[in-house]
Amino acid sequence: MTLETLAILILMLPLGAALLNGTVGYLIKENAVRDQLAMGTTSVAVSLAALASIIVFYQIGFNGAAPMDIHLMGWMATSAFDVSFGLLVDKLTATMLLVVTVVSACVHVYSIGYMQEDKSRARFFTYLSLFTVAMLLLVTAPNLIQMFLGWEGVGVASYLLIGFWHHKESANAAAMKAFIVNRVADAAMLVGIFTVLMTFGSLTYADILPRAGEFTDQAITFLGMQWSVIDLIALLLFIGAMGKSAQIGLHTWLPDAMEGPTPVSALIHAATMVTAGVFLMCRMSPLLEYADTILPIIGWVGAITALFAATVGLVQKDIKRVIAYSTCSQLGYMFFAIGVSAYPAAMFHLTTHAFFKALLFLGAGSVIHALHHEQNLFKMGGVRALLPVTYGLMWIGSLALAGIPPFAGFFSKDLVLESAFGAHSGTGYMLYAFGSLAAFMTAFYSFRVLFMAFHGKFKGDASHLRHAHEAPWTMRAPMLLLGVGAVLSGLALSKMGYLDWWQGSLVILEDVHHALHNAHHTPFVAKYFPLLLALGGIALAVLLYLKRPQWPAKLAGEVDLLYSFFLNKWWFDELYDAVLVRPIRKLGTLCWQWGDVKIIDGLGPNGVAALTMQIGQRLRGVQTGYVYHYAFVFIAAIVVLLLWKMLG
Amino acid sequence: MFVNVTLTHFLTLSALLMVLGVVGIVLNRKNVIVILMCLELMLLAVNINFVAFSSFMNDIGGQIFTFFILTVAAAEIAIGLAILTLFFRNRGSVAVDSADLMKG
Repeated sequence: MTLETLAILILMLPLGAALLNGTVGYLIKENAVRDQLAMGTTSVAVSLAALASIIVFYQIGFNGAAPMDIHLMGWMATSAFDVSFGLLVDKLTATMLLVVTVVSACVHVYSIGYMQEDKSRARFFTYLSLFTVAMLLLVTAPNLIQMFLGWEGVGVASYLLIGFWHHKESANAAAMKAFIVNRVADAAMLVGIFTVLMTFGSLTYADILPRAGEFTDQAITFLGMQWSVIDLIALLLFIGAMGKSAQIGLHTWLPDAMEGPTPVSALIHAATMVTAGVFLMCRMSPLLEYADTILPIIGWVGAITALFAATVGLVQKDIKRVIAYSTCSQLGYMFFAIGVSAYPAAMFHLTTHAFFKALLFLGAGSVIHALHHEQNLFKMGGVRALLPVTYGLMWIGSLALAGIPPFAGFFSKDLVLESAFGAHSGTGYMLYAFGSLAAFMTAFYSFRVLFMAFHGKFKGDASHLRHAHEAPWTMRAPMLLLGVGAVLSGLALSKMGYLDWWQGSLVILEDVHHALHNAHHTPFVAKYFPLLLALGGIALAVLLYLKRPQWPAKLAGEVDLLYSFFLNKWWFDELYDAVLVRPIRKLGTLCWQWGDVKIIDGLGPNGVAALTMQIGQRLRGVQTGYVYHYAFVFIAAIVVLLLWKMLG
Repeated sequence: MFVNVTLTHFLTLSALLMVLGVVGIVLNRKNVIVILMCLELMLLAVNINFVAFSSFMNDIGGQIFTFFILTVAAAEIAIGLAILTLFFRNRGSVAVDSADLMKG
């Protein structure tokens, strides 16, 4: 089997599984048969795809195989542009393929255990596979349109999976929120794609990216302002990426998305979909390199997100929300690496993060599963004896997240921070400072979760504890696999941190942007300062949650305002509610009550109907029912007609 | 003795009968039978016209047509009276005002 067939198979296997279960499986009446079919086919298909991805990744990444540009079939051929379906598998895509399919396979298998008691497992697994297909379309796309198809596809799948438990009102609301917030970003993204088409006359990466340098002087008027066209494209695509990757301002959907089942959070809202924005930015790196005004903005947005989400993560009560904010924060790291042109660092962090964050989510899921869907950290505690495997894996995940060597997060997060430092600019140093501070908080909150959930006394409903049990092997095995990834991926894939490894799939103008180059020669102090902070964060967590468990509550009381500021997520939701949601609802109500009900319905169908009724009411008086009246009218009419004829 | 009788006389008679029939139908409020009678009157007026024209124009067709009309009138009155009987059974009266089911 050639590598190309294998690459096509990666895409087709989950697609086949999703289609099979969405059509044939849907017709099966027997619940048990349908569920077994769905679980079996999707898990096997995605696992095979994962194996294929590992082979493709190894061949392309480490065995010198050439990047592939496979043409599958034509799609839209117009005089303005020509778009076809295909697969572009270079090192960037191969990395994403590895991340997506491996995490997806783990999540599929994990879900067999986690969703055991659910009534619509077939639907769940079909959605999961559908998501995987869309994500694979996104990362393998050779052009922006196929990428956008995948981009929207993952949005739909995310909507379906967040709202999977549709009997919960909060789940429905969260699903809609995720969809709508992403629409806002996607609007900008679409305009960005149009601008690309207008500028380059093509949507294929191979036509766009190598030519980005030719258009640096071209200006364009947008919203009444003069823009460099490259800057405009970069900004619009970045806004699109901000939505998917939950950067500050457009992040509000991500914590709410935790309403979905935990495996979904692990797959979509930690490892894959939310990294699509980072992937897109890296894919567009040859173009971004010329967007000198936009890069610092990306950096700042990333840094502020990293810090913001970390502060919110410090105080959240829901175990999944802490991890969700942590994801948000880590995505911020990736963006500020992009902001200093350190794309390899961003991709490296994306890869390692996928493993340890998926592990953390699955671990949290294991706890939640054991405690009868209890997600409140304040109702957990002391379950480490009951869940030894989960406990151990959560340690690995937390250490990796906190960036402690030799776990994966250390290498990638360090590289990100060193790149920021290596930019040797004011912005760079600020980003480094923000990132280091966020690293301190990251270490603190990840161990806060660990200690609150597994140490101390159990604070929840005692009846839950009686049935608490270690997860079945279907849940443990994927966690173990991800655990291996969380330990080893940093060391094993450390080549990802060098531009050379990417063989042109990532581009840095090294004479202008030398952050990554300098990152590999960082002064000793700058290199180990974040690690020191992370250790400090862990120590603080040990002090507050193990040694002096009564202190956190007291501390929260002391800094009341700050505490509620963090607890209420910087009041972003309240702000949006007041500034956007409520006015728009009011406008909507106005349009509905007045525009629709009064004007359109009132003058339109209802008005005409009422008028007809009224005229009818008047006219019915004519119909007396007496034959002689009718006869009289006949005759009178004849007389009138005759007279008219005779006289006229 | 009919020397001075002209077509105009016949037509005048026929018009009078016609008007009598019409006025009878329109003004009558009491009795449906009167309406039937008035209908007969109007048909007679028409018949007189036919016969008069037939005689004055030497065309036998008009008189033949009269027989058709008489036949139709006989059939019509038979049906009319049958309906009337049923109507009386249902309503207990033959007053015209009680036949107002078609009132809008």
